[in-house]
Amino acid sequence: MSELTLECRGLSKYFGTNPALHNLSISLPAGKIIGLLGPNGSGKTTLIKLACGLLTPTEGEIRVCGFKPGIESKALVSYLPERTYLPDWMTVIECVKFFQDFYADFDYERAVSMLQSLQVPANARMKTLSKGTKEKVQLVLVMSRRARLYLLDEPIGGVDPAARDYILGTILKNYSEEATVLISTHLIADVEKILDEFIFIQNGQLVSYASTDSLREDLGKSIDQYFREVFRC
Amino acid sequence: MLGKLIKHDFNSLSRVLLPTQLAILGAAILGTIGFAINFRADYSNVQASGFINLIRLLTGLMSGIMVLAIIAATVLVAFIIFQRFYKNLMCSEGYLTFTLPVTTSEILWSKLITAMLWTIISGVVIFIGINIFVLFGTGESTFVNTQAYSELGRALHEVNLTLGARVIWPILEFILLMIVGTASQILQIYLALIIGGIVSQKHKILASIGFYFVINIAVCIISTIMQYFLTGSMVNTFNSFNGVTFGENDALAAYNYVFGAMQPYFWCYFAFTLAITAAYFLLSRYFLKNKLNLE
Amino acid sequence: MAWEFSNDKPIYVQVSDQIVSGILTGTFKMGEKLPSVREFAVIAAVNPNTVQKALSELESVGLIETQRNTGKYVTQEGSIIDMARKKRGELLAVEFLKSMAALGYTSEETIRLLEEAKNGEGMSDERTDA
Repeated sequence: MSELTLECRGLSKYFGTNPALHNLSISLPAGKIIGLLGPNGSGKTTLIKLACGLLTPTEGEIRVCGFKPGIESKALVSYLPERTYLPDWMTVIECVKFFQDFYADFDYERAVSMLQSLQVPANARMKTLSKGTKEKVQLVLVMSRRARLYLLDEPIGGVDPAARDYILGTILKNYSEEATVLISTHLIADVEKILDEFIFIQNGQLVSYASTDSLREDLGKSIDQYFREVFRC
Repeated sequence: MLGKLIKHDFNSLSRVLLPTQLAILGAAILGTIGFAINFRADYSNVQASGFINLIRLLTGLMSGIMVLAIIAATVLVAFIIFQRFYKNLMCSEGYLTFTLPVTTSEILWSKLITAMLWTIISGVVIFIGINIFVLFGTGESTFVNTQAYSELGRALHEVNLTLGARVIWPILEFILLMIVGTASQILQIYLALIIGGIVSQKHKILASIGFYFVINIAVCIISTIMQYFLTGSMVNTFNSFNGVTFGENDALAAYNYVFGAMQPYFWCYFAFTLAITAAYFLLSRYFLKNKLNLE
Repeated sequence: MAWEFSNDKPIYVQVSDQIVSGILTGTFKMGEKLPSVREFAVIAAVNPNTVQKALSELESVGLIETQRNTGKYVTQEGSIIDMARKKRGELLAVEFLKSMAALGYTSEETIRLLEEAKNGEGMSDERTDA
């Protein structure tokens, strides 16, 4: 029984007259790791923000595990934005306790042990950490939740290859049959092996939604190769 | 969840504001010492000399610093409260705040409540500071100025004799108005910050200042219209005071008459302020929920 | 270290092949317990569903068996492993001949080259250390 963690029906979002998303209909099942792929400005971040409840739809509907974006859906969604968003003045351990306080599905021990293995000092203020370390802290906090929908916006961009491996490994270790992981990224080749399915999006519209295996079986292509074809400049 | 929000918001404000409150107390003590020395020193029998003048200067300065410190700390408290609001909702931290499993209303309530709590705390600390000053600094011949307090006590006793328990009502009404009035001020700035931040990505602060004045003007216009309607009946009320006389010792009757007559106006004004405050809250919530796009 | 994959075949097929190689070379011994799906996924840096598919394939040919409550094990049946080895060898041989033919060698020339390589200098032990 695979529940749909994310459902979009005729979803549109306009900023003024600019259609960031137009008439998007898609349903994502649980237990899959899915790539959200497309050129810059294609609407990836807009879709993610709509799922988080950071934006409201102009038209159409979006539901997370059956809920419209609101406090129930926010408790089920774990979002990793592209930028650092934790308060500068908080220490690492204060951020961990903050998450523990607000999210019932937060695994405190897991977060602490991950931070230890990354050698992040618990009492360091976020302000004093390097950008890479801040991103690692954010990743740890997001992945220490037992959420139903993980929305990762460029989780491995701007990170060295070793850290990339660690992040992808963390995503795999955290895998759950009840959750969907949606990864929005440019670095398709790095991420391809862990994707069950992929979504191509362009100009706010759905271009493809298929499984990695079927692409290779039917067309003999990797997602990376297919992307270059479809989105050729 | 609201309780948790309040706890975290309050702690994040306290981190920065607690030192300022200690500074106020420190300044009050300093000023008290300075003023006390200056006030009680008898300069008439002492030859004017550089040393004496220096003492007078220093102690005078200490009193002056006290006043300045209190003003500065008050401004700082306000500034920090609004800065935290801005950073927590309209900047990167917004990604954290608005993805927490809480409603927008809860976020706003938490910000309002913690701002009011700190306004009250700040007020109480200043009150304590002033009392330290009066108590220890203004005694003419005694170390502790109990005279001021005993005179105050006597005045209050008089009031109690004349009016009795019904003095509670104006006090309560005053407190109520203070609370709603403060909330109104805070929410007005919050709303200006929100709209300014949404409308202008690059010049958020300038836009916010602009919108603050726009809101001010809008509220002025509305309140002027309302006052216009009330003026007629207010004039009537005042006219009705003509020719009404009270016995010399009938303070109670005079109080009852005037206080009673003012009631409708008070409640009108109070309802108006309450409505404006609610409007600020609802508008803030609308804009945060539907129009905010964090970059 | 993450495994290497090519772009033209489904990843689960490649994972399956790599596990078979592991069994044939002795990395995974007969009767040995295999890592769990999750552990495999992390080792190979691939999706757990992909690993699951690969293991199911191997189960259907009998190279792997699931023992309830304890996990997946390499088969104890030496005959199945030998079959797999034979199949793999045949496949490699055919592919090798094809590659050589593409270079212009006839089958006979290819066989002669192999004989020379077997007898000639620089002959390395082809058996990998178990």
